[in-house]
Amino acid sequence: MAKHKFALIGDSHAGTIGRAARERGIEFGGGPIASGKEFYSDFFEVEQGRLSFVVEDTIRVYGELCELWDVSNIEELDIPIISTIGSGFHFPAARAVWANFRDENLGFTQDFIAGPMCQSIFQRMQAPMLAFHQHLVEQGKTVFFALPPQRVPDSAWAELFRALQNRAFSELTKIGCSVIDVRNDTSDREANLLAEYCQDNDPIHGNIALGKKMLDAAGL
Amino acid sequence: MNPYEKLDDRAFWKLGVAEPKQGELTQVWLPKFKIEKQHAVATAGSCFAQNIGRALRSRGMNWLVTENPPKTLPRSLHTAHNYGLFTFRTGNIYTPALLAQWVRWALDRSSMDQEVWETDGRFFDPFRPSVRPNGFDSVEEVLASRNVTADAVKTAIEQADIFLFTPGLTEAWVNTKSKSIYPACPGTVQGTFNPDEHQCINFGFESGKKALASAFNAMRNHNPNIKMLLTVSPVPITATVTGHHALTASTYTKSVLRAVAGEFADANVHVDYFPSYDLVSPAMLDQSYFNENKRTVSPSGVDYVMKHFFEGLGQERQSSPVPMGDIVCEDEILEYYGKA
Repeated sequence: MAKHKFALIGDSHAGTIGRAARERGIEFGGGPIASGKEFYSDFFEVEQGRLSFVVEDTIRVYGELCELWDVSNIEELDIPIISTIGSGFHFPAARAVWANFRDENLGFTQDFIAGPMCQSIFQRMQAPMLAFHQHLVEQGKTVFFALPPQRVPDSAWAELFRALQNRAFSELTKIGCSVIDVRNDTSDREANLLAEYCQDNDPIHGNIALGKKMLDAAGL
Repeated sequence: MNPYEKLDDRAFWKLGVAEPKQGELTQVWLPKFKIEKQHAVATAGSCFAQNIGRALRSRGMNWLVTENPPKTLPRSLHTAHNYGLFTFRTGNIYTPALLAQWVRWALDRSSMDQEVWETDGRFFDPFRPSVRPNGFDSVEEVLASRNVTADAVKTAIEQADIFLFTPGLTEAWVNTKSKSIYPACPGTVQGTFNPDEHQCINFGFESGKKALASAFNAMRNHNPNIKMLLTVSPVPITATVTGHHALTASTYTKSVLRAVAGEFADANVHVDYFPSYDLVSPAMLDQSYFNENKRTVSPSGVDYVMKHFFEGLGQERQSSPVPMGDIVCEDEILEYYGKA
């Protein structure tokens, strides 16, 4: 088996990067291990320095990935890891979750978002995904976190999606992750993903062209 | 006063279709019986029926699944192994005759055909040729798996409140000796075509209605409370061996199925018809609801059909308890590994 250039792990947004790498003929291994909502709960445990997942299906897919990487656990990897785990910000920004917190204009003010209640909810929501990346960095891994396609489905609040994204960017950088951020090259004036980078017939995901931009930004 | 004068707008083409007051079609389907969220709904049929099961699940309705994947099978392989597409793992059931065959096998196991195909040391199920992409290890394994599916069909008949069937074809391939019906022509998905054994039958109105009645009557004998909801797949045929042009063959197929479903529903208080085909197929619609291949229904077409379905059930204002993004993301993951 050829040496992998990087390992890929994440939610469904990992597919964008994986497809682009395949098209470029880059040797890599991995892809999504669960849909994004799973990473907004306590989705992993660490015992004796070894990470394990808690949902049955994810355990199986993770096991397959380890086989593909030819390691017994992710801590043994000696190649960069690209992660999209926790990048599905539309889940924590779901309309159903926040509908009762809207102001009289049926929106969210910056004061509300920056306020202690909202921030403490964000903190709790993102704690598992931040802890996951922190563990990998503490194990000496080179970890890239890819920001998601800038597409907010109708089921989520755009201002909360972006606030969660900004917070994740800041916290992951503090931890020591490199954040793959191609927003400047791929977004329009309203900060939405340009149509040429959107997956056809899909309200959330990016296409191979976006994945290539992300690989370029990661230097891979 | 003549009988037309007291009819609603929906009874007139101009007011109901061409120039509806609300700007769009409404009240296209007025259900004959209630389908509540707690009702167990089994789905079977052609590929379009897969959209219905998924939509039921996303709306938090009680989509009945009686055949689940083994815990050892990774989720990424569930679709390739035909799990989660329909209530049970029959694969596509395109014709009323194939449905009748599965119902008969499910309720009388002694009638089940024992045919198995072998190719290069691997074994395939002629009646579910796509359920195991790499085939089975042995004849016994094929037959055991077919029995599991037959059990699941039986369980579905026992547990379902509604059996939703979506036929899509009238042309079917039959074994001339056993008279068993295949879901696909031998030699296309799996197996080897033998002109002495394999014959195409293009089921007509009478034979189609008879097969549908046979299937539903057997279900009702086993579960007197079960009801049937019929809808015809709007997806045109892939190919025809009738000698006719694909366009006219497809028109014939859909016309026959639509007529069978309509007459069977009109004649039976426990059977209803939902107009999937009618909603997206007419050429005079403002927009096409088909993909560029002019065959498969586009996501907006599926949404449009399901919108009318849930409106008919009185659920048009109810939001989905499962965020739409969840389904999209699951599909994205399946797609990723499906192409791996």
